[in-house]
Parts: sequence; structure tokens; C-alpha cells
Amino acid sequence: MTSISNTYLTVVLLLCTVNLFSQINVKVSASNQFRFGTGKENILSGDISKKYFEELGDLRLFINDFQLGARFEYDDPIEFGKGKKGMSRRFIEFRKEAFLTRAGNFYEIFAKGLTLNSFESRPIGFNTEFDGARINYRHTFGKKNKVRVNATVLGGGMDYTDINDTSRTENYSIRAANFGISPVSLFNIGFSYLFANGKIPTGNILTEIDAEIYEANFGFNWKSLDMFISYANKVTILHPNQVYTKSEAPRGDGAYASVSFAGSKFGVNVEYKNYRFNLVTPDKRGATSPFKPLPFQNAPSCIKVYSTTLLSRFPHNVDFGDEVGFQTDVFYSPYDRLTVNLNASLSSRHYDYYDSDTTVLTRYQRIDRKYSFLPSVKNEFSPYWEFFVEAEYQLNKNMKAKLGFARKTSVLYSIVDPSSSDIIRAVTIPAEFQYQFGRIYGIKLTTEFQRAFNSLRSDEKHYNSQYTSLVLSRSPDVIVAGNFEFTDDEEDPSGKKFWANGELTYKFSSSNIITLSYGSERGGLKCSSGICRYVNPFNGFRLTLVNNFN
Amino acid sequence: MNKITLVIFVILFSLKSAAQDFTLDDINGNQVRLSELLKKGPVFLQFWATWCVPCKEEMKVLNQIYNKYRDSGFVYVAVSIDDQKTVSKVKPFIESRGYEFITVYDTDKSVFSSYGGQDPPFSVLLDTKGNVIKSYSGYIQGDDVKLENDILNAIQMNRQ
Repeated sequence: MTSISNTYLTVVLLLCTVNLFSQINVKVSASNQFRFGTGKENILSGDISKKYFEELGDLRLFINDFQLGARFEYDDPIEFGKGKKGMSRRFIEFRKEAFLTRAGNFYEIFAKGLTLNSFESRPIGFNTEFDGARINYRHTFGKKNKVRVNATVLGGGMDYTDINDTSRTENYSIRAANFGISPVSLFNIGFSYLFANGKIPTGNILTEIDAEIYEANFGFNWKSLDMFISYANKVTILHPNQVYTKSEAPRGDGAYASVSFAGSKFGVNVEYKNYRFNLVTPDKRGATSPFKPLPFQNAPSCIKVYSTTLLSRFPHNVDFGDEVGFQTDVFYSPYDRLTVNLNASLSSRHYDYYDSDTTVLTRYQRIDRKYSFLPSVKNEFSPYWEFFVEAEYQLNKNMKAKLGFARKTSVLYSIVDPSSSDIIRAVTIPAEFQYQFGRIYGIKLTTEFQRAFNSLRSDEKHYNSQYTSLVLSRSPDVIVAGNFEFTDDEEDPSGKKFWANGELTYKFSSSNIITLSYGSERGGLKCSSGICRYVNPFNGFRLTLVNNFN
Repeated sequence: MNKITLVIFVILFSLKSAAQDFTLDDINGNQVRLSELLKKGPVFLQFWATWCVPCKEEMKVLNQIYNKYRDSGFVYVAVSIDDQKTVSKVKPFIESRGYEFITVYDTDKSVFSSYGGQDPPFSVLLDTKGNVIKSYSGYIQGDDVKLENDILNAIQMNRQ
């Protein structure tokens, strides 16, 4: 009898609650990602076993003007970065007319990120998440002559774990504000200010800093022409300790500009960067320097983001402390069947340095130059440049082909011994062919050939690499892929010359996907927003399960 | 304890899936509000980025579907999740291809996250009340057939 009444009460409670929730407009969004991998990683000293187990569940609840969010994370262990077990994210958000407020975890970007751009990139284990509060006000005044205002105030803490050394965690307490106004539709101006108190580990010693960043930006938008310019200035005040015994307050700054024009069948975008947030001699650069650009400052990298294997083999690690350069992207579509993309970029350090000490010690001295606002292609400036062109042609309704050409050069100059500079040059020719048949079946063949030169190879400095991928698919649920890579490089860090893996993807529904893969992967540098980490070659099994419960 | 858990689960799964209304800037600097678009008909939100190759393949297909059904009230919105490093390429890319659908910026990925998006391409098809009819992760050749059927069904449901 008791159990029947309990069941009855539960059902009544359920019905009442569901009814109540349906009246107050409650909605939910949930997603889940599970990753598992087991195998061996190839490092210089040999093979080591590698395992990861990551479970990531996100839940969002929308109740009228409120949004509640939570992330459950269970890493045992994580593949990259610092693992977590338990609730790793929670927030409550309230939105009413022009106001949006949030308490808990959040990410934020001011303008183009010279002052503040916090984000997460799990593939490289990077995370600059806030735990605090944020208020945003966004409103348009007037009916005929509209004036738009956007303002944000935030405060909170941030624990940033070094992507290359997870035992190092930097702690920041941040207060920041951003204001933007568009008095007429043609242009907008904006300002931002950030204050951070940071504790940066240097070995076992914590170095405390106070940093202030001021930024101003201006945007212009007229028909098909868009322009944007941003300038930020940073001062870092050091609290002396055993490592840094003298009080210092160096300044650094950065500028970014972009111009884009979009016409019929033609579009062009030119970007310029001039980052001098930590313009110091080579011996004073480093990830543990208290004067470095802060981890939540992520300005535009102005280099092309590649999505294919060999093209992304030699990425550029952007130094936001000392780098100047530009990038041009051109889109051209003369007719429906043909599209062409052209990209060119050049980056370098601002100055060359020399060793002014005549003894065994090294004392770097800067060689000033007049045009330091422009990049240089001379090796002494550690330049990085690339040129890429790709054409895509739709042969008929079911068939299309892509052909490209890429050339890149990367130099890491050694002042002490120029002959030991790390110089990489590569020519890559990517090609792709797609064919669709029976309306739902598809075949995609991708092949890339690369001829590379690496100055640090002790014997043969030139080598070739070949990558081939064959993908067969049946819409909407099955994808089978085989990936093969070959090199004749005798000094590849993994000691191998051939890698092959197979992948099977099955979609249970349009947004619930399982992927299984087995085989070997070459590894290399993996980058996100100009921040890079080295990923070891891997040989083994991977499973990924992605669910979206919308 | 078990009953409380059961109540929570039943509540969550009995709720309709959707996100709140949002306002985002389009590539011409105008503000676009989702609730205004829903007055026209079913809305397809495609989250994409300029560096995402399958997103651009899907976009080509969706553009054809949009041109076919736009007069029936169907609205296609390309939501760019390009961040600060690639966002300036969005407008030249869209206009050089002569695309006429609405393209908006979600630079901080707040709308993308609110729909449970993890990696692009990710899309949601909404009915005129803002409820999610279906969500899509990834794009493969031949998906155009399924996409067109789903969109056509949404248009027909709206007419009934």
C-alpha cells in the first residue's frame, strides 16, 4: 500500500512539475563528448604507453530570462593539459532587454583580443577561463539616426596551466571594462581597460606582477569596404623577489589593422600586426618571464589556418611579444564552377641582435633599424613567410576537383652560431578529388606531396613526404577512411617512415556520432590561434563519441 | 534519492529543446534578432568558420536549398564562429561568392554553445516557435538529400 501511494505521489509530482515548467517556459540543451585512446607514443628515447579517458558533459537550462549551465568532466587521464574530475564549469546568466549578466565561468573577447581574448582549445590543452562575474549592456538609441552602444564590465579569477608544462599554473585576478559606440552607421570607436594581478611561477618561486592594459580601436564600414585598427599599451609592474631583485615597470604595446573589400565575385582582406608587448633581447624571452604577453591576451595571428595534413606540418608559433607582419587573402570566383583562394603572409622579429661581449659570456645588443614597423625576410630577423594558392573546379553536378600550391619558409635564427639556425623550407602540392554517386554515396581522394629542407638534419637535409587519404561515405550515417603517410626523411623524430590508420564513423542520428580509429599517426606541432604544442607520434586505438541532445 | 533523480531526468527530457532568443551583428553591421526571423518561417542556423572545409561545402548546398525555398518562408542563417584571427575574412568570402543569405558573427561562440555545439559544421533546424526540430553534426557528400527533405517537411509543418 505504501509503495503504491509513493508511486502515485511521484507520478503526481512529476506531472505537476512538468506542467509548472511548461508554463514558465523552460527549455534545455545538452551535449556530451567521450574520448578514449590506448596505444604507444613515439618519443626520442623509444616507445612509451599512452592512454587517455575523457568524459565531458554540458547541460544548459533556459528558464524564462535565466540560463543555467554546468559541465561535468571526468579525465582519467586527459590527453593534453590538466585533467579534472567533477564539475568543471558552472554559471548562471540573466538576460533582460539591454542587459546580460553572468556569474560563474565565462570567456570574453574585447575588440580583436589585444587586451583580452580568453578561450579554450582542448586539442592543445589551452584554457583561459574566467571564474567571476560579467555585466554587458548593449542598446541602440534613436529610430532614424541610430546610435549603438556596447559596454562590458567584468571581474574574476583565472588559473592558467602552461600547455607545455602542466605543473606550472599561473594565477590571475582580473578587472576589465570595454566600451564601444557607433554614433553613425559608418563607423564605431571603442576603448578597453584591463588590470591584472598575477602570480607567475619561476621554478619554485612565485613572481607577483600588476599589469595594466589600455586599448583603443576604430572601425569603418562603408558599403563593401571594412577597416579596423586597434592599439594597445601594457605596463607590467614587478614586485621584487629572490629571482627578480629590482623593481621594474617595462612597457610594451601592440597594433593590429585590417582592410577588407568585397565586390562581386571578388574579395580581398589585408591584415597587419605589430606586436611589441615584450620587446627584449633573446636571453630574456621565455614562457616564465613575468613581462611576457599575458595568456589571456591573444591578438590575431595573421597567418593562414590550414586544414590539411602536410600543409599544417610546419606551423608558425607566433611570438606576441615581438613580431611584425601582414597577411593577404584573396577570394575570386569568376563563375559558379570555379573558385580561387590566394594567401600570402610574412612575419618576422622587429630587430636583429649581436653578441657585444668579447669574452665567453654573451651580451646581446640590439641593432636599430628605421623600418622596424615592417617585417624583414633576412634570416637574422627569424622570418616566416608563406604563399598559398588553391583552385576548386566543379566538373559537373557530381564531381569536383581541387589543386593547390604552397611554399613556406621558417627561420629560427641563432645569433651565437648562425650556422646552427633552424631553417625549414617546404613546397607542398595538395590535390583533392570528390565524386558523388547514387545521390547518397561519396568518394573523396586527397593527396599531398611535400618537398622539404631542414637545416638541422645532420646528413641529407632535403626529404620528401607523401600523404594520401581515401574517404568513402554513405549519407547520412557511414564514413570509412584510410590515411597513409610516407617520408624518406632519415631523421624523423619518431624514427619511422610510414604511418597508416583506418577510421570508421557511424552516425546513430544526425547529431550522435561514434568514431573508431586504429593505426599510426605522425604527430608534430599542433596550433590554435598561433599558440602551438608538440604532439608526439601515436600508434594505437582511439574512440570518440559525440552526442547532442537537442 | 532515486525518486529525486527520476524527477529531474523526467523534467529534463520532457522539456522542449531550444535556446533563448539572440541578437547578433550581420556582416553589414545590422543587428539580427532570431525572434524576428522566426516570424517568416522555419530557420536553419548553420554554425561555420572560414577555415572549416566541410562547412563551406555544406554552405554551397544550403545556398541552393535557400534559393529554392526562400519564397516559401524558409530562412537560412550562416552563423560565423570565426574568432578574432579569421573573422575579417568572413565578409570577403561570402560576398565574393554572391551568397545572399544572412550571415552573422558569433565571435565568442555564445550562441553556438547554447545549442550544445562542439565542433563545426554544426546546424540546427528551428520551427517558428524556436523549438529545435533537428540538429546536425558534421557534413558528408550526399547529405543534401536529407537536408532538403527535413527543410521541406519543416516548411509544410509551418503551413499546416
